[in-house]
Amino acid sequence: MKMFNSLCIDASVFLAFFLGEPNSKKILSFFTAIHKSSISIIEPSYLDVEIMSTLRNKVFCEKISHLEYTRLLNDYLAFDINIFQVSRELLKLANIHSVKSDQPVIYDCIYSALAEDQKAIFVTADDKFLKKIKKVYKHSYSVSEAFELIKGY
Amino acid sequence: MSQAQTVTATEARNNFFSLIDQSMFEGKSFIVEKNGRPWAELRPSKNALDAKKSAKQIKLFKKIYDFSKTLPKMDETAVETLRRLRHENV
Repeated sequence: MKMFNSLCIDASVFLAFFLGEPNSKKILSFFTAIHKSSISIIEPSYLDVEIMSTLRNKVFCEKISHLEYTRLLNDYLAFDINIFQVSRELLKLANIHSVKSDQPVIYDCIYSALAEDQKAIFVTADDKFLKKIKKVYKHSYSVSEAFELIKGY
Repeated sequence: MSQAQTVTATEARNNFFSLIDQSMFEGKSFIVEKNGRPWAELRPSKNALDAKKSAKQIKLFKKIYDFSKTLPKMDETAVETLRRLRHENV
């Protein structure tokens, strides 16, 4: 079995965890397993924008308070993540992923492109996108699949 | 990392296991002096530092998880919100 040194996790996984969705316990186990292994988390710098923007939107829609937003944001910023700047080269690869997976936008593909570029596992909570991107980058997994995969590391 | 603390060789001998524990669990470093001159250093290994960092992260995850359970139920999942924000103009 191919061993991976890093994982690129889509913003959907972080946000599902922060917002206490039904799968958040599974994500907690997943994050814990990552830190017990020798695998690191790599992310495009764009993740910061998505996390802040989505949580900000929750405040705007009055789903969470500004205080809750600030607390979640501070906790997110304490995550041990290796951030990669989104370069034009990465965007070119994201564009290829977008065309091949028939995505109308490239946002999701920035994560899968970084995973491919860095020979990492791509993880998303978006099942619809996962189905499409698996055909483009085969090392793409759901949280449950990735959890099973890294348990043996 | 904290600044190294100086101990005499006698203190180091008498408290060796305590110094190791402080090094492993608190990330402390020690300089062992003999006749008033530094002779040896005791500092946490990379493994010990990684384990400490990892334990801190796992504690953070649990804290976020507990806090997230105090939030009201959202009418949209994270995937749906992201999709809406990412695809808003499509």
